[in-house]
Amino acid sequence: MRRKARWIVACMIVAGSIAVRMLATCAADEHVVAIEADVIYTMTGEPLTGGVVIIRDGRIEAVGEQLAIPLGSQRLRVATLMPGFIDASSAAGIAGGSAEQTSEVTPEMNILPTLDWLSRDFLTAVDEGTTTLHILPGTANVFAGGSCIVKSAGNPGERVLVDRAGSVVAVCSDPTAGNSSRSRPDSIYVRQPTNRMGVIWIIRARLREAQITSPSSQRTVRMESLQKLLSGDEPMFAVSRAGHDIQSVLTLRKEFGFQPIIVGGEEAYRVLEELAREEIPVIYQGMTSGAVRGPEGTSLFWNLPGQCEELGVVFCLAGGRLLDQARFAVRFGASERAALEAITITPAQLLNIDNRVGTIAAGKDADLVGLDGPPLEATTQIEWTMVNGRHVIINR
Amino acid sequence: MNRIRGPGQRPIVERGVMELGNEISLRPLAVALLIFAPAVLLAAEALSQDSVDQSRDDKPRLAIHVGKIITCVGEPIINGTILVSAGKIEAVGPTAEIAVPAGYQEIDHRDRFAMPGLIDPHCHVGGSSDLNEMVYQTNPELRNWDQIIPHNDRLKIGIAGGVTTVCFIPGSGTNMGGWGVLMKTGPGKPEDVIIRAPGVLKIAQAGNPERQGGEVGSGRMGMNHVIRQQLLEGQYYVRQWDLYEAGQLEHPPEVNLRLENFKPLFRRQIPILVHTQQYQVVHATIAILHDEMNLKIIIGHAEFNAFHLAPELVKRGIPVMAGPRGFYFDPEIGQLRGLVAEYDQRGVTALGVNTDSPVVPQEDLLFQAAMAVRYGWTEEKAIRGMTIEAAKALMIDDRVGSLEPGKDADIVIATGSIVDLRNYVVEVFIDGRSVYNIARDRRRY
Repeated sequence: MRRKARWIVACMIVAGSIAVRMLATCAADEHVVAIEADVIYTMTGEPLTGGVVIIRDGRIEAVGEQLAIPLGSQRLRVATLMPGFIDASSAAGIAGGSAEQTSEVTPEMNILPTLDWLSRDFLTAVDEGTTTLHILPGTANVFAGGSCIVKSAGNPGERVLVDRAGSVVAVCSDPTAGNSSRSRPDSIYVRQPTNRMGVIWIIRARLREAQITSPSSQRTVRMESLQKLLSGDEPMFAVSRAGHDIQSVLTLRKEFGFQPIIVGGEEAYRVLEELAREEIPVIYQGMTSGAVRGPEGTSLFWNLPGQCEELGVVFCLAGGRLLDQARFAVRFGASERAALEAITITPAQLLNIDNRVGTIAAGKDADLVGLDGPPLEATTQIEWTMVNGRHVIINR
Repeated sequence: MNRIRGPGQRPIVERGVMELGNEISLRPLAVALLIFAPAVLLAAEALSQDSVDQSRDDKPRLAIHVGKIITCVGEPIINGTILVSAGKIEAVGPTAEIAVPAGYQEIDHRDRFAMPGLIDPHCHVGGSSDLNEMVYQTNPELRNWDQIIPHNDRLKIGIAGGVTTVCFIPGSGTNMGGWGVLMKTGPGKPEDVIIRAPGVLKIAQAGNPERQGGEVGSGRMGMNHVIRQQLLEGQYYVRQWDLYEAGQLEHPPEVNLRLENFKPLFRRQIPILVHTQQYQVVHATIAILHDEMNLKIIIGHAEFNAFHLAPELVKRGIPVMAGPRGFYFDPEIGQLRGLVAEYDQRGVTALGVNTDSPVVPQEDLLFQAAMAVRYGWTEEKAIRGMTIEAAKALMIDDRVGSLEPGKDADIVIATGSIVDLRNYVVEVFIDGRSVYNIARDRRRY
C-alpha cells in the first residue's frame, strides 16, 4: 500500500510539473513561429549568421539568412539555434524491468510498450536539449529485443518515430550476471551464459539455427526476428564495450553476416581500423567524465571521438548529457563539427530518421534548441528546447 | 557470406582447423594498435608503454650475435649468429660461418645466451578472465579465442620471463571446459598472435569439476562417464563427416556447430590438454582418452603421485607437463618428491612444466623448471622441456620450440642459462621483433 501511495504521489509530481511546462508553451500547432538567431547551426552546411527559421504546424517551413517574417507570427529571439539533440542510446522511461528475464533469447520482444511517457527521464532529456531518443532494452539477456525511437515531449500519440529500430544483442558480459549453476538447481537462472564463452555460443547457436531453419517451416516470431538480423533487414545494436567483445562482433559478423552498430564502444580504439574498414559505426556512451575506467573494467581513452573522426569511423555521442559530451570530445581532440554532428545529424542518419530530425531544414520536425552562446562553450546554457514546434522554457 | 545453404549442398560453413589456420596466417598489414597504444592506455598503467613501433609488413632483418646459442636441436653453438628476416629464423650457426647480408641490423649480445622462446602449455591469462562456463559438465560448444587480449599486462611480464607462446585454455570447473587457443604473448591483433585455433581441447578430471548440483558427475565414475559420452558423440559426428568426405556417404551430415571442433581432434591434428592429477585419475585418462578414443593427449597440470604411471606413459609416448605444484609429499617415505625428476628418472622424455598462470605467475615458468632441476632434472632437459618438448606436445613444433631455419624468430636473450635463477632475460624477440629489452623498457622481472 505504501509503495502504491508513493507511486501516486510521484505521478502527481510528474503530472504537475508537466502541466507547469505546458503553461509555458507559447505556440499552438496552427500558429506560425519565427525564430531569429544570431547563429543557426543547421547541420546541413556552415552555420548561418543572423538567420530566421519559420515554423508552421510543428514543422520547419523555411530557413535562411534573409527571410520575410510572416505577419502575425509569434517571434522568438535567441543567440544560437541548433537542431534538437538525438540520443542514440538511452534507457529513458523504461518501466517494469528493462529485460525479459526468463530467457536469454527474446529478440522478438519490443521495448516500446513499456515506456512511461510521464517518466522524469524525458523531462531531463528536454532540459538537456535532447528531443529524440533511441531507447534500447536492457542487456540482462543475450538477445534482448527490439529498440524504438521516440520524442522526448509531446502527446503520447505523436511521440513515436520508429516502433522497432533494430535488434539489441549483448555481446558483452552483462547477460552472465545472475546466472549460475550450482547454488539453486531449481532456479531459472541456472542457464548459460555464466561467462563470455557462453554469450558467444548462445549467439552462434541461435543464429545458426535461424540460418538453417527455412522461413516456411517453423514460422515463429522469434525465428523471424533472428532471420531479419541475418538478412540485414534489421540492424544489430551490439552492446559491446571491451576491445575483445567488439572484436567478437567482427568475428561473428564474418560468420553470420549481420549489420552491426556498436553500442558502448569504450575500448573501440583497440579495433578502430577494422571498424573503419568494415564501415561499422559506434554509438559511444557517457564520454563526459575524467574517469580512467569504464563499465566492465574497460580502459577509457578520452580522444576516442577524435580518433574515430581521423579514421573515418561513424560515431555518435549518446547516453545523456549530449552537449557536455560534445564539449568533452572537442576538448580532447575531436573537431567541433564532428562533435556537434555526433549528437544531431549522425544519429539521425544512423537511425534512419534523417528525413524527420537531425538538421534545421525545410520539411523537418521543428525540434530545436535555443542557446545563449556558442554551443561548445562551457558557460553557454540552453534557454529552451522545442519539440514538434512546442516551446519549452528551461532556464529563464 | 556463409548464410545460405540449400539441401544436399555441402555446407559452406565448415570451420576445420586447417581452414582456420589459413585464415589466420593471412596477416593484415599495418597494425594500428601499436600507434595508438601509448596514447590509449593511461599513465596509471605502468606497463602500458609499448616499445614496439615497427609494423608487421616491415619486419626487421637482424643479425644477432650471441656468446652461446642453445638451439634445442643439437649441440649449443659458442659464439654464434642468428639471422632473422620476415619474422622467421633465416640461419643459425657459428659467427665465423654466417655471412651477414647487407641491410641487416647487427645486434651485439656476444656476452649473453640465446635460446628459443619459452612455451607455457597451461595458461589462463591470455585474455579476459572468463574461465568457466558452469552450467553443463561438458561444453564442446565453447571456445576462448573470442576473449583474448594480446600483450596484456600479465603476458608482458611473462615475456620478461622469456615466455613467448602460451596455451590459453578454459578453466577446470567442468569436465570439458571448451577449446583453448595457442597464441604468442607479443603485441598485435588476435590474428597476428594466434598460432592455432582451436589449439587444444580442455578436459578436466577429478577434483575441480566435481558437481554438487544433482547432475551426473558427483564422483569420478560419473565424471569419466560424462567425458566418455561426450567424446563418443563427437567421434560419431566426425566419423560421419570422414565417411562423407571419403565418398562413402551420399549426403553430407548436418553441420553441428557444437561438435565442429571435434574434427581436428579426432583427426589427431590437435591434442587434448587434460587437467589430470592423481595416479588413478591419470590412469583413466590413458584408458579412455588415449587407448579407447585414440586421441592425442597431454598430461597437463600433472601433480601428486601419477609419476608411478610413467612406464605406461612412456610406452604410449604421452607427454607430461608438470605443475603448477611441482612437488608431492610422499607419506610412504616422509619426504617431498620433485615430480619432474620422478618422471624423468622413469624414462619420460616428453616432459615439461607449466604455470597454470595466474596460479603460478606467468613469468615464473622458468622458476618451475629451476625447481625441477633442484630436485634432480638436468639443466639441458629443463631448457628443452620449456621449449621443444612443449612445442611437440602441443603439436606446434613446426613453428616454435627451437632455433632453426624456417621457424618463428622467437628468441630469448639472457645473461646466462635461465635455469640458474641468478640470470635474467635481457631481450626477447617474437616473430623477429624486439618486444622486450631491458635497456629500453626497464627490467620488468
